[in-house]
Amino acid sequence: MTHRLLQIDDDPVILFLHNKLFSNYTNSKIEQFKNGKLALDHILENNGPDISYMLLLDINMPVMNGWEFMDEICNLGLDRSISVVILTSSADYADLDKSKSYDNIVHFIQKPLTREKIEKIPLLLEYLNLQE
Amino acid sequence: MGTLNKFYGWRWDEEDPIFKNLEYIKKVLGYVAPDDQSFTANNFKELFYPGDFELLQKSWKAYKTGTNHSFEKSYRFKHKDGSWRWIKESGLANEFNPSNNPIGAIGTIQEVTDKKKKNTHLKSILKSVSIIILRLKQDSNNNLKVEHISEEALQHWNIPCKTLLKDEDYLRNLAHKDDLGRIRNALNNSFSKMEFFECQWRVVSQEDKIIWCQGVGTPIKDKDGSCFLDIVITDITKEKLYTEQLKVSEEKYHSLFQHSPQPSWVYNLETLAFLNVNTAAIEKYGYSKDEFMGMTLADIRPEGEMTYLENQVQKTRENYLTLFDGHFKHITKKGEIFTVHLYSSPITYNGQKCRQIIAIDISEKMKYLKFIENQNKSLKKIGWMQSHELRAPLVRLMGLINLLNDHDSICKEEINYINKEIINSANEMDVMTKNIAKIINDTQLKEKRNDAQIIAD
Repeated sequence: MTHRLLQIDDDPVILFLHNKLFSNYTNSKIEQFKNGKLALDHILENNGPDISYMLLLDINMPVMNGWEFMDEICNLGLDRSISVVILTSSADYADLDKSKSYDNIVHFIQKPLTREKIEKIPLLLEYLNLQE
Repeated sequence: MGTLNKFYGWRWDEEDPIFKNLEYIKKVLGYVAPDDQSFTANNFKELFYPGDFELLQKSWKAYKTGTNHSFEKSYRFKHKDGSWRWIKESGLANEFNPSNNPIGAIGTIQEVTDKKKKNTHLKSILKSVSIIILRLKQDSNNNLKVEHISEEALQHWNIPCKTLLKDEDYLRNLAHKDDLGRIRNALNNSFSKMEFFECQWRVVSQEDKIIWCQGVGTPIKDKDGSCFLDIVITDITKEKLYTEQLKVSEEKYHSLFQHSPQPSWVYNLETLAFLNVNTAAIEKYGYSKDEFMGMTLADIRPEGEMTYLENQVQKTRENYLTLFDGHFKHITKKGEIFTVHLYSSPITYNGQKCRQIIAIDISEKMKYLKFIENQNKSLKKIGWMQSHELRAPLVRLMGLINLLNDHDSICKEEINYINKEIINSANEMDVMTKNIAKIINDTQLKEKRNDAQIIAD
């Protein structure tokens, strides 16, 4: 089984910060996508029964935002093999409530991401360890 | 019962006249005398209604020992079939003894059961409808006197009546003192012109209760030249009370309508003509009451609203009894157009199908609502900007500062990048906060303009 961790965020500064953080846990570079559409295309191209994904998903993005992306993977039946951590700057309770309606959203984290926050999510640590 | 009204003759020269006529005994009473056993002397008394035999004997004895020529008595007698029949005997003496007492007479006997029943029925009807029948007689000197008054009904009304017939000033007992003049005038008028009498007056009962009466009757000239008037008097207290209550209720309604602070009117559903308008409507629309009375609903609607008005009126005509309310545009005499919340309800006015309208000017309310809606939109927008847009550079800043604390993991190039992005994020936040401040300022400005407009209005 291959474990793949993907970041989906349109903010290059955030991606830079995340890379710096993740470098404390893995030597591998975590793949990054600027919007949901690019990530979805990548997953569809590289999907297989022996691959499981964990996504760090931002909500507000151009082209395809976080919620549109979630709906797409649910419609395509991909939600069972994809675990999602919502990583957002939003302080809107409506977003938190909405996240609860998706079974495969395992965490909802407000940015900025820190070491403390990463270490509270064992599944994320596991994925970071398993990156090739 | 076919022989009910048939008279049977008898002749008296012995003890009792009744059973001299065998045909009567057979046809009216159903017995075959004297063979019928129930008709023997012993059982005879038992055939009378309890007490009636004694009364008959008593009056028969009084007649024989008196000097009256005529005899008349009614009593109840048991028919062969067991029912009670009223029997009337009447006769006239034709033989007398030296003391002038009758010793022989001829007369008739007849069954009067039906007549008695009808009389009893009539009495009970008169009693239940509380009618007083008063007969007034006017003698040749034009003096009026009570000749008859139905005492039974008077007792029901509790009017002192025993002295009434004797009292010269009978009206004093029969009417409230303030109404005496009116009754006297009506009576004098009726007798002098022989015209129909009709009058309403009050009676004070023995319990000091006011009873309203209505008397009607037609004067009739008697053979001797005197006049009499049979007045049928009915108790109209309840009707008077209801009429009074109705009047009070109508006055109350009228007052509520006229003094309502909201413009209100009544219009004819067919012609759409105004039939009544209140003071508030006159003030609001600027037309006088006379002007309104010559106008229709179309005159207080702006031109573009005519089709809307016609459609609404058509709907109301189809469902006359429905209540409805809605927003409409109206126009004053000066041409000022405003929005009203209009309440419409059915009303019968002077016998016509009409609608009553209350029209509340909601233009100011609408302005406020719109203002509050705009304010809510601004607040929502600010909320969204703060939780989404403003937080984006903020979290970037927080992340960059966190990274700066981790000296070991960053190289010189990265420090430059971090510094540049801190400045970018701070600038971005500056723009955002200014945008939010602008939205707040714009909303406050609108509020000030709105207040100024209201003050100006």
